[in-house]
Amino acid sequence: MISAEGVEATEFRELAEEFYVSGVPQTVINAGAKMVVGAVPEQRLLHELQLLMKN
Amino acid sequence: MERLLNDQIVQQIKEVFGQLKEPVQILFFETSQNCETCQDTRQLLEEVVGLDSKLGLGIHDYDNEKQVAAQFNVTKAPTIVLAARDGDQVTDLGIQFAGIPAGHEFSTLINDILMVSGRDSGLGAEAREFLKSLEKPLHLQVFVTPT
Repeated sequence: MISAEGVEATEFRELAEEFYVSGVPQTVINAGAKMVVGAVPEQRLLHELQLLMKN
Repeated sequence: MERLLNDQIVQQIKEVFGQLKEPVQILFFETSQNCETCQDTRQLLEEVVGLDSKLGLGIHDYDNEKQVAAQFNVTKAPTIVLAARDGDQVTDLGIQFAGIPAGHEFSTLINDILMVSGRDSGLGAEAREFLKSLEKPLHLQVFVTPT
């Protein structure tokens, strides 16, 4: 149900461009349904996920 | 072939690997198509896995082992899959790293190995509760650079 991957942006440049990655780290949730830029605390990411997944 | 990890780093890794609990199986999917980092990534993994008997490594050809790749949801190469191993049973936890884990990302790799070995995400109670309640798939891709 849950999967996570680290993606080396310079090596997978096309994928990074697809999601407009400009700064790292950038977290792309469900293929672009939501983006979170920066190394955010767990609570912040959780909040973003809660907003996204309840819809 | 020259080693990628020097003595000092090997010593440091061995020390943190003292915290390893359960076995971890690493699957590396490499490709011969236009891959600048595959050889180094493979060598790096071989050197890391060689440092502790709780770690195992399987090398897979992404282009010719489509079935294994599909089984672990691998969609590109090079990809590293960090899976749990119990006896002969390898369990996919949905944890991957695409590209070479160099620079800062090397410590991410080591920390992820420790996390998988401990069979514990380290997440807080609220996050665990929320993730357990999910009814739709959740896929996170964290884009990083080695520096």
